[in-house]
Amino acid sequence: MVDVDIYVIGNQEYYLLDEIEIDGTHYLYLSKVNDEGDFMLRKRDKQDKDLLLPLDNEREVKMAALVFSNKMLQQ
Amino acid sequence: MAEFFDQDNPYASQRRSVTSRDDTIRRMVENSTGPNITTERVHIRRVKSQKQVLRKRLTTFFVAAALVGGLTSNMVSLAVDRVKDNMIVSDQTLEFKTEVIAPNTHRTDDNQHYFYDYDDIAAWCMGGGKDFSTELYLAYANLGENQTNKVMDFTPYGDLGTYVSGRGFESVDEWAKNERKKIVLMAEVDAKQSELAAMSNDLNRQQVENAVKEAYDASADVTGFGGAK
Repeated sequence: MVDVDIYVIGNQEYYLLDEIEIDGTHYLYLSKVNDEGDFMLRKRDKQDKDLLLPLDNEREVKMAALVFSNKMLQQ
Repeated sequence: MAEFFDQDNPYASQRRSVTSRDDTIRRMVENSTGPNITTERVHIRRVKSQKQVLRKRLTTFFVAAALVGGLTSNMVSLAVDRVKDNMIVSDQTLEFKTEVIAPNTHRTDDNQHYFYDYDDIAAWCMGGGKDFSTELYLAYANLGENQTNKVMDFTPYGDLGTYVSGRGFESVDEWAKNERKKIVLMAEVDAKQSELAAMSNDLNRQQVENAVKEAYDASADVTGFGGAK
């Protein structure tokens, strides 16, 4: 058994699968607890780490997704 | 109807895969940027989860992220095996860190650096549950080559370079790659053994159930009660 954090966002529960810092921004990779095909990315506010922000646009999602998949391949 | 025609269409599965890829990308982008999404304050709780459950989630997320990131479906299928192998190795590396490295780690007086009980780590590697080379790899994966050489000072094998060349490897990297493969293979063997043990338990249970049923049926023949007749 391993410890895993569950983030409650908008009344939905998500497993935190990973957190990666990219150019000073922390990106969170989240998977919905009751639907393993439902994924979400968020980033931490730089001033208030407990505040989660949506990503700006599709380009930022693609960049963060690519960094995550590269990390999984390189690990 | 479309399903029916798809059965004869050689491009159908390709089209389905493109659609599913598009869906994955669209869904992840919408979930992460959508207009209804607001800034949220985090509420976190920590739970225990089975490693396999988390591994499956990570693999599924990897597939989606790789598609979103621009890898083709074919590249992603090829990469999944590698990701699964990486997860097995990193699980064991983390386990070694928790069980062996952490209890033998100390801070220097100025709190700027760490030092380790190299003799205890060496003793673990020589007497641990796996073979020495694998335990040594796990130490190397956690500590790096310089610190591992200090561990090697407490073994009869010389430094890491000497040890790996004595085992026929041209470099530490080549040895490390081989150890990673070994870890994955051993994990597969362990998984197969657990599968076989479970199958054997099922078989034994079935044999016992059959024997009970036969005895019950036989008793019915004699007493005229019970039995599955």
